[in-house]
Amino acid sequence: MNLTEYFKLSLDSLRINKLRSFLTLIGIIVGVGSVITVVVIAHSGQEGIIDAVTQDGKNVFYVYNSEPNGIYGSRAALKLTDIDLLKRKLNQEVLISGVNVGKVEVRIGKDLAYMDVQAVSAAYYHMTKNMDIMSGRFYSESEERSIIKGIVVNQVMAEKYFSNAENAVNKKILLNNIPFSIIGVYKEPTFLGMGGDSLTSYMSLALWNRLTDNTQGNITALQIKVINEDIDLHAFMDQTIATLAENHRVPKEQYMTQSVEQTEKIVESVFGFLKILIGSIAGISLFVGGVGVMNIMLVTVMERTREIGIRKAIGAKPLDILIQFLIEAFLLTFIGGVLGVLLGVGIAFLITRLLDWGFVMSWSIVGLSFIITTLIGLFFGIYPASKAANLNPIEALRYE
Amino acid sequence: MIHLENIAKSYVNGDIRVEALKNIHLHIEKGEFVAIMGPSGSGKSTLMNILGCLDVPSSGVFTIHQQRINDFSEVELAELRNQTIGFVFQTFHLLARLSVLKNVELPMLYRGVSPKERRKRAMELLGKVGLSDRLQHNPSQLSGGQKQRVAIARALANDPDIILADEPTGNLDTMTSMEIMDILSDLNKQGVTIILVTHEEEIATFASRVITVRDGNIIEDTKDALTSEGLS
Ligand SMILES: Nc1ncnc2c1ncn2[C@@H]1O[C@H](COP(=O)(O)OP(=O)(O)OP(=O)(O)O)[C@@H](O)[C@H]1O
Ligand SMILES: [Mg+2]
Repeated sequence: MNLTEYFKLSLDSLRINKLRSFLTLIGIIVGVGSVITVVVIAHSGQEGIIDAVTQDGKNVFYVYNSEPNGIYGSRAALKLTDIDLLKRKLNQEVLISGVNVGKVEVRIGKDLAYMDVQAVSAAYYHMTKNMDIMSGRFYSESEERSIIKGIVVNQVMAEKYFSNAENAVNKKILLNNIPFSIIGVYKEPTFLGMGGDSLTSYMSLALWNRLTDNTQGNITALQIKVINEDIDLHAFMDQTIATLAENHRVPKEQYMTQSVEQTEKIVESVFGFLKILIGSIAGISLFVGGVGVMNIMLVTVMERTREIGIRKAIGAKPLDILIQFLIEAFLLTFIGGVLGVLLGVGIAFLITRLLDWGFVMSWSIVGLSFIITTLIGLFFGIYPASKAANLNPIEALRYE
Repeated sequence: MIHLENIAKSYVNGDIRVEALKNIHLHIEKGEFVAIMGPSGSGKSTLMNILGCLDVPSSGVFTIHQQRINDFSEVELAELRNQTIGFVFQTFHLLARLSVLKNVELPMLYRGVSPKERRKRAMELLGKVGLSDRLQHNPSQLSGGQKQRVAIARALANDPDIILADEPTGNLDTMTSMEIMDILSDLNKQGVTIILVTHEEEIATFASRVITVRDGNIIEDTKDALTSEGLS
């Protein structure tokens, strides 16, 4: 008897018990389906998040004051002059922007609102990939040094108060009662399709410091992009810190750096952990599903005791019976695996669509699902199958 | 061809020990038609199960074609049942979920015959027992006599030397019983050894030899009677 014949036999008996086979499979379907759903969604989401954090490129890093309130705090504080210093001293061509962030009260005609502000250097515009100016312009380096109070606002802000982006340009708004003019409108990159209804804006650090009475001119962070992508970023970050520390006459430990690559690694490890977590939950549900399969196979063997007796009487060898039932268990879980994969991919696809994320198929988890369901079928099928194979033909024939 | 020497079979159920067969000596030649009779519980089915290699004796020597069946492995026993013996049971024992055709194909499936050849042979056999028009039916759609004819066709699938029939007419009316016996008689005429168990004298008359069992012993064998008569 060849393998196709065994498969036909098993398929026949599964077909006869369609409903029961299906009910048995629910555990496996749900187990596999949920793993696939979550893994594919996580996979798609991970790409999105990594895309978002790497939007400024891999050769970008940030420098912070690690202890702004420590004993060296005020001496170590980053200033606009540090940008020029680094440009002069670092041995690589770089783009540098200071970064301060805050919230400000904004008055547009009679309306009052709060707006997020990112105070950055003009160079910032050349450092980020996702600055999509819809109308007007981003401020230039010469504008940055002038006293013109220009601000770049997001599309949400423009559409909410000036009906569209074009209309908003050159309009006056009051920030803390100081008149500013909108010089440009940008489209914000969506982050995994979420957010995007808050008011945000960019202005120069000089303006922001004046607006917030930051007479010290302190800067929270420096964002640095190295033009040459092939450098040893790690060594370069060390060099940057050393330069700053020397200039401020503080220990190197006063500064810390964070590269996009490091962030990416953190994102990856968080997702890695999530996958392990989900994997173990899935493992449990697959185990339960497997026990269900074993249970139904034991019932099947009992119900079909007489059939087994007849088969043995007319010449089936124990191995024939073993293979028949093992294949039945395998087919049962395999079909469950296929349905689970279809269900999981379907749900994941719908969810990623709803969230407007890119759908990224994870073939390895599909392959793994099939391998695991096959193993579950064989593992949980072997006991019922060997029970069937070892039945005594006479007792089996006499079974009522 | 079949030789039983000192065969005993006992069942132990807890403290109770049943001696189903005590001391059986039996020799059956190729082409014989043997009827086994005896009261209920005398050990007829037990004997048939041993002859059919479905059960092993507790003691004694059992040979078929000079091969000691006692020494056979389970796989060898399965092959013997598959190719040398055909079974016909009182309760038919057809697979309810398979068509008549598939039921008859089954012994050939386990022998490794190709699907095409299997089908051809099964159709031929079902034709012989007059069921050509019932190939795709399920056993449940057949009458008792038809079921038994399917069982006979199945028993013949691998062209066996021996057919063992434990009360093949036990569940059939007289008319149908006669039809079944006619088929078995024909087979015997074609050289198949037939051993059947029956309670009915009328059925036993089809056989050329009648063995009577009581309390696990053979108490009468018409062949011995003939030979002893011949001697005297
Ligand atoms: N599996 C078993 N366990 C215990 N005792 C058994 C078993 N099978 C048969 N017996 C006993 O062995 C004896 C012979 O049984 P057997 O089935 O051979 O009788 P039989 O002659 O076929 O009877 P019948 O004409 O009613 O079919 C009986 O006493 C029966 O109870
Ligand atoms: Mg009996």
